[in-house]
Amino acid sequence: MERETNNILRSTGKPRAFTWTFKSGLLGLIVLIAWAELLGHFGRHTMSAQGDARWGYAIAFFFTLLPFFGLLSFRTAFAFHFFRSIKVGVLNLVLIGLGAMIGVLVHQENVDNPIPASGVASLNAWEEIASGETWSYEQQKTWFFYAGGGGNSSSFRNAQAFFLYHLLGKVGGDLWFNLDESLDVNQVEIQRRLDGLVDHIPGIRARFGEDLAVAIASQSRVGLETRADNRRISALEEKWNDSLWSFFVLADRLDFIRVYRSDWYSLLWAVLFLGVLSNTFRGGWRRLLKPGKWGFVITHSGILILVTGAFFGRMGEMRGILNLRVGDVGHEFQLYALSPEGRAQFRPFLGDSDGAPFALKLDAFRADQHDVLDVWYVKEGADHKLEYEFALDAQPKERVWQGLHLTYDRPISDPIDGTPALEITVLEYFPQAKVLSFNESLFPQKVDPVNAADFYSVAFPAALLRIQTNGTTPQEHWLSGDPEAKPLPVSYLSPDGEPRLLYLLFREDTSGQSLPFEWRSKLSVLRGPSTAKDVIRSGEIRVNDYLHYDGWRFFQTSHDPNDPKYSGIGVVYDPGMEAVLLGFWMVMLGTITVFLVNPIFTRKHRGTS
Amino acid sequence: MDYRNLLELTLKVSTFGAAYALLISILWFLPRRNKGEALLEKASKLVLGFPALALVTNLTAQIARYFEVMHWPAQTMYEVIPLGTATGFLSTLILYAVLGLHKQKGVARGFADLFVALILLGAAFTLSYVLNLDPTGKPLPPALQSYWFSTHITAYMFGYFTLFIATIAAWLHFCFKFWRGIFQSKDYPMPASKFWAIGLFALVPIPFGMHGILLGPGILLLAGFISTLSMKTENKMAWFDAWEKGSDRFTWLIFVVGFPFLTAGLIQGGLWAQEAWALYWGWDSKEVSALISWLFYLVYMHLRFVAGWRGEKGMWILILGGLSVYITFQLFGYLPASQNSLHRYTDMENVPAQRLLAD
Repeated sequence: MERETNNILRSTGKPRAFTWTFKSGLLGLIVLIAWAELLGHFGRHTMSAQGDARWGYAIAFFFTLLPFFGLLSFRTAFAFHFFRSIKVGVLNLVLIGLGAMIGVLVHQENVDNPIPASGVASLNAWEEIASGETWSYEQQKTWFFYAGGGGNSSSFRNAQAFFLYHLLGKVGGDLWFNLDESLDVNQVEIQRRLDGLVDHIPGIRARFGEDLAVAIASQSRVGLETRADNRRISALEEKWNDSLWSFFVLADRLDFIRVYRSDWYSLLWAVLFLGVLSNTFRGGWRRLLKPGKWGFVITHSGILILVTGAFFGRMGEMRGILNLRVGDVGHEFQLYALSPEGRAQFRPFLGDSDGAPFALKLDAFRADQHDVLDVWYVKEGADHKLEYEFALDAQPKERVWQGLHLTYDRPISDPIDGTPALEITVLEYFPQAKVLSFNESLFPQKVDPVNAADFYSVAFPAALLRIQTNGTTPQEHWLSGDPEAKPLPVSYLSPDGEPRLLYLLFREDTSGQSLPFEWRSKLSVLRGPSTAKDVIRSGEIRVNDYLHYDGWRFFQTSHDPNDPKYSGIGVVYDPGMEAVLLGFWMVMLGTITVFLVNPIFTRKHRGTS
Repeated sequence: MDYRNLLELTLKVSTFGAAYALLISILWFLPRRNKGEALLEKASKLVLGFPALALVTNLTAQIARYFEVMHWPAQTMYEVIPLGTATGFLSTLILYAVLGLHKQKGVARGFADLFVALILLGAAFTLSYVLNLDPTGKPLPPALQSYWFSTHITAYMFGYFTLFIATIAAWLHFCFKFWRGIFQSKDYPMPASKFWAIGLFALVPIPFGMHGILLGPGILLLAGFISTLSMKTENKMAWFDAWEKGSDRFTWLIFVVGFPFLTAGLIQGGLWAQEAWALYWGWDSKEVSALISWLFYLVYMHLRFVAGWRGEKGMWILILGGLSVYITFQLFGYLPASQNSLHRYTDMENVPAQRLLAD
């Protein structure tokens, strides 16, 4: 304590540098956090308040800034040693970690559509002062974030109840929940329902293999348990509503629902930056040139560059989407962030280099769906109509590639190693193909691939299958993915002599249940003084490969399964991105240098000292 | 042999290897003659063969899975966890060399065998859990079709499983310390607070299921059993002095092997996200959970370097770091912020054979 508080004068009369300990460092950080919160509060109100109130906030803002400049002017060494203290730095890392923990333990608001600043306070006061009045837009929006549409998994209340349910469920569950008995997760009942599967699983295993049988059993159990859990979570939401609301109000006041955009969290990153800056280059430049220090310097310089880039990115970034159909030209894009009134906002494209407007044209787009082979085992139903032999919600389907070998229908007594009654091999597979001729049954007879380089041509896939039943001579069949194509009937005898009938349908999976296999857009950048604009740049975008033009990045982000001409193009303007990426590489390479390269070359490690 | 068969084979190798290494380890702690020592040393040399063999079968399984799903097998937990166990086996072999375990003699060699036994046992439990997961192979959505998909996840897995091993090593230290405090309380008194801390910490992982029981009370009881055997020998638990002296370096070196890969995994995630969405860091809850784990280890490293936190203080942080990694890897889906995560792909309420269930 003595060491913490005494700013002792040496015998020479010069003040000795203050030694920051964990305790004093924590106190210093808490004071800084409070200061940042005040500064942010006054700063925001200075910008948004009207009339005289604005002056009041501006003056308060000014006086809040004063101590900072005072410290820098009159106690420079004191402030400098604070940032340079390793103990303060470690504490700061701990607080950054705690902030991140709050971020994952408290449901976060959507940064592009945050709840209004006054929303929680007005909703909190609503019951007392205006009971019966219609809710304002702010109140409705706040409530929607808090409670969603009832059982909405993206609501604050549901997310917190979900977390508490699973956390407390691990340590005594029902003691905490005290829910109606009718909501209990009845394992006996779940098992009773699953027992219905027992008769079918051996048949599914023998017919389709072990993986599908395990998947059905596993998903069914998890699904039934999750449904029961979710009913209980919904009940807990209602039961704990008052407590969850109180927590929500507190979380809003402390910015726990927007941690990563809060003033206090930003301050911790600023302290990290200053701490790293004041430590990395201490001791003179000669020290930094020692080979043993390279890893350290690269890593810490990387952190500095990274935080700087992130700061500039946060100040100037714009993110949004450009919705285009093939042939359309877009001059402006829609920001992801909505206006405070909840309206869509649009921004024009302005070049980074000269501020001149430009436009984007969609020349071509195609979403290439996964090509799948449906395997439909059928039987004659009660009314002599064909029906699926296995009453699964979705009949088995296989993704197709050249060389794929599929086996079906082994003996129930030996479902793993028994001889399959049906074997299918994909001999050839063209993602895009043209059927040249058909046989008398109207199945493709001759097929040619479409030039694979032309991703955008509308052509359906085709596959040549070799089908072998009951060990007989294999038959070869071409199947086309044309939506008009018929399924191929196959019949054979099961291992125990029963007749089997199945249909094979090869198709593009356009159900929309999963994202496409690949999607690409061809874009042109148009720039010019008049409507007759010149194409000054063309390029192709796909996921993981974007188009970069004059400070802007365009990347493939969505499509519409019902509109093959539509392409959703993500738009990003981030002036700090290059710096961040450089920082990333430096941190990664620096860490590898420190921990893996240095020890190998020096044959010793600091840990051993 | 398909992926599933090869995983079952790896499970058998791990289980048998764990039993063998545990037996050899226990024998090291028993009194023996010189001839016995030589025999035991030969038998001990075989221990390392099990993680090596398990690595081969596990890697073969991953290759087989690649051809079953035609992409790097790291999309579902059925694929990612075995990738992790493969990196764990690889890490064991690397650590064996880095820590110089092959040079150890006597009880120290027994300690090395115990260490390998626990890793193999952990792998066996993990693989038996995996075999009950949904094995459906899923196509990669566009965002995952990237070269980062393999390097990012593999680096993470290597980092995670190596740092798990560091956690096991640190926890083993406290477990033996606990028992020596009981068996030799006069010579090595230990404050009651530390007893309570260790005892309580053994209970903390129990709610996490079989893994938790194995890691917490399981290792504590195993250490108790070995300590009891040691107490019957002439030197009692004198070997613990040597271990205690070297335990800080031991755990530190494991950290040194794992941390660069954890960092590489984290950073590659940012580089990949930048390519996919031009958004290098979206404060997605999975990203943040991984960052928290990374910060644990960053704090450990800095406290050790500059605040002199050597020995047990640092090892406690390693244990907490392991817990954080486990939460990130396995319990992430229960966090409130995971509800809107880009890393959440599954509809848990799906029941694929509704009409086949009993009414």
